[in-house]
Amino acid sequence: MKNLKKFLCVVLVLVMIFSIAACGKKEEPKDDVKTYTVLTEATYPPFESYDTDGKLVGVDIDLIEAIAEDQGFKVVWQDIAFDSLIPAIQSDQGDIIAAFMVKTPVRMEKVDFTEGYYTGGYSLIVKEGNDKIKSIDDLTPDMVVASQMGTVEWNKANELKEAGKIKDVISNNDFVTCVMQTINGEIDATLVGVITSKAYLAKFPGKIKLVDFEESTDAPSAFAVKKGNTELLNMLDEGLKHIKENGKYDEIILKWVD
Amino acid sequence: MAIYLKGVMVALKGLPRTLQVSAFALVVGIVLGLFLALAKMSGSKVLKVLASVYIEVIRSTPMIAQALIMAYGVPMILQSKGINFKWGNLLIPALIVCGLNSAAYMAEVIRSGIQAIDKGQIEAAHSLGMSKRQVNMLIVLPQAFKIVIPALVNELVTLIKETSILAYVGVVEVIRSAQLWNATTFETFPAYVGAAVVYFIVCFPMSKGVQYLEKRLSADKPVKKSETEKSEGKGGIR
Repeated sequence: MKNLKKFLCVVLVLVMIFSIAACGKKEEPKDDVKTYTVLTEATYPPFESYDTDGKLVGVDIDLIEAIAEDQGFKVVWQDIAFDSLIPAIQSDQGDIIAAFMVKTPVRMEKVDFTEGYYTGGYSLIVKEGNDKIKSIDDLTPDMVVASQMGTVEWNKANELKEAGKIKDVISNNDFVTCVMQTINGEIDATLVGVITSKAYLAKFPGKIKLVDFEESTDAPSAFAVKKGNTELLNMLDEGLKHIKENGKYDEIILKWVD
Repeated sequence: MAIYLKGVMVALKGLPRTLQVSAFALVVGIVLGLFLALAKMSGSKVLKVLASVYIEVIRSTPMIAQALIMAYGVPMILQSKGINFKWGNLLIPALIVCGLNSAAYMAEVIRSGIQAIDKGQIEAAHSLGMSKRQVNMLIVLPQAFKIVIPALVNELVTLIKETSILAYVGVVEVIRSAQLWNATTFETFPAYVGAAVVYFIVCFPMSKGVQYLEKRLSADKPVKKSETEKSEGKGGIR
């Protein structure tokens, strides 16, 4: 018993030493280069997702890195839930949202958006072999559609429900779950952006197929900052303008979106 | 202030679902838990091991993992084996997981209740010629049930709070209602404070009720040892 107590004592002391040592290792950002925290939600390829090595990759990642290089600041990335992005910015837990977020009027009340950088459209993902849904008009009042909570696609799905065109909307935290539920046959379709739907098709070939909505979102996607943070907003807009002029923007879009 | 009231109202909309799932899980938990408890204390080694393994696996893994496995993992693995299986409604795996989960905890609660019954009573009943079954049904279980009532209510309180995990498998209960509202309005603080208030309104009276029950039920407990010793001591003058 006494030995056990001694052993526990040693273990606790070691834990304390290591945790203090870990604190000391934290990199102090240098004063001359500012570091901003960029928030994203990485279940939205090809804009943001993880590659097979677990690295965060995508259009938004490349765009922000290019803008940061142009404007001379550093970024650290943080992956959080989509519906937490705006609250996190409002409470200063991050500086920039780069999550292919569409500039909607409701969101514009809460955060400040940069100029738009890309406009996408809607699409439906259905299970391979589903011959019932060939277009948006084939959705019937007994069908269930999933989407990611808080996204414009989710709003669209809720509109369909309110119009009585579908039975219910399943609201998930991420699009991977939506696609999984589609593959499992739990739901009839996933409502998602058209470019992202193609990326998912590439990830799950032979398991899903796409039904084009042929309808674009009302507004473009843009980066967002806390309301009133004009300094950062101007830097982002300036950087975005520069990379559009010098061809870097086109290069990134071509790399990820065909 | 109005926005907080709205937050509570939004969370309240999810309360019926939370209570439905909790009530279902409670009933399944008690019935299955009773069998598990009896199995664990039975003479059969096989039953004993099976019950113990089940209880320990459930108690040593988080419910969110169990819920995700049941809701998404099970259909996927079955379909990859060529079995065309789907839940159809995601409430079904949620109910199953909560029921199975609470059974493991209830089993331990019930077992402790049964073991609290004085062995002398069981021996006395046997000596009166009662069968094992009669002893269980007439002597042990009725008393054990009374002993474990406060613990069962405690378990229900835990269960009600635990069902918030089901928000992650598509069940629109209290937390999910708050999340959905937050996703459209970004009223994060009122949304989650509203949810917390709803849980508190339900759970606080139950916790208080448990305290009351504990007091009431202990009133007719067998006389404590120290008291018997005392009376014996008095009588010892004789």
